[in-house]
Amino acid sequence: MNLFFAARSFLLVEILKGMWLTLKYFFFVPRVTINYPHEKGPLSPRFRGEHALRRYANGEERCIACKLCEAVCPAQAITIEAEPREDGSRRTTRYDIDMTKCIYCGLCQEACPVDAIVEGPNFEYATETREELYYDKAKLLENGDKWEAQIAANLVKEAPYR
Amino acid sequence: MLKAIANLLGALSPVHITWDTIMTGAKKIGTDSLGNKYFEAKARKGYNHPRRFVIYSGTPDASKVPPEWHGWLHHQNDNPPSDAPSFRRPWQKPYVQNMTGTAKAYLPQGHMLKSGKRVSATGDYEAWSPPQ
Repeated sequence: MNLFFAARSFLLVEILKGMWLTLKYFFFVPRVTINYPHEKGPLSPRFRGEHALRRYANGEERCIACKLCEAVCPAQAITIEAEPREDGSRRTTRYDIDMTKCIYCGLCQEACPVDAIVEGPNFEYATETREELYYDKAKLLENGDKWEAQIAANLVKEAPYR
Repeated sequence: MLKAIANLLGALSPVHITWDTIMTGAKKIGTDSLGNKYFEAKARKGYNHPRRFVIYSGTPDASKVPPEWHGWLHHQNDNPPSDAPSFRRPWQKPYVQNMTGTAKAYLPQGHMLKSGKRVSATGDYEAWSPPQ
C-alpha cells in the first residue's frame, strides 16, 4: 500500500488528471461563454432589476403614497413624503430610492397595491459616480416611461402564476 | 497600427461578427428605432434556446437596446417585437441609453451640478434627541 502511494505521488498522477480535465473542456465540452454586448443570456420575466414607477394607461401616475414599500423595505432604501394634490388626490411629493442601499429583494413590488413600483428588466444602469444612484421621483417615473412596454409584457406573462 | 489591426480582427470587431453571422447561418430579424440590427441563429451545442445577437449601430454599448428588443434579446419574448402585440403607450418616451459619464447623466436635484438645493424634509417624524 505504501508503495502505491509513493508511486502515485512520484508520477504526479493528480497533475495529469487536472491537465486532462483542462484538455477535455478545451476540446470536447460545449462552450458556455457568450459574446456579451452583442449576445445576452436568458432573463426571467420575474427578473428584479432597476426600479421604475409606472403610470396608468391614461398617463396618470399610479403611486398613491400608501408607504407600504417604505415600511417593508428591509434595507430602508425608500423615502416617501406625500400631500394631497390640487385636485384632492393623494400623491407623493418625494419618492427617493437609494440604489446603493437597495438589495433587490423585490419586497417593494410585492407590497405595492397598485403595481406602481416595479423592478424592471434593466440591469445595465451602472454609473461612474455614486450620486447618480440616488434616484428621485422624476428619475423613477422616467424609467417607467422608458421601460413600460417590456414591464407590462412581463407582468402579463407572470399574471397566471400570481 | 497593431491596435488598429486588433480592433479590426478582435472578438468584438465588425469583421468577427460578420464572420460569425455567415458561419452560424443567422437570419436578420429586424432593426430597432436606434438602427441596431438583430439576428437569430440555430441553438449552439449544449444550449436549448436559439442564439440571438445584436449588431449595434455605432459603438457597441450594452444599454443601447430598447425595451421590446431587450425582452427578445434576453429570451423573455419569443416573437420579435414587430410580430408581438405591443404594450407601448402614447405617453411613453423614446429610449435613451445609459448616459453615465456624459453631460446628460442623471443627477439628483440636490447635487451641486444640478440645482444644488435639497428639498427640505416635511417633518413627518421626530428627530431623536439623546437624554440629558
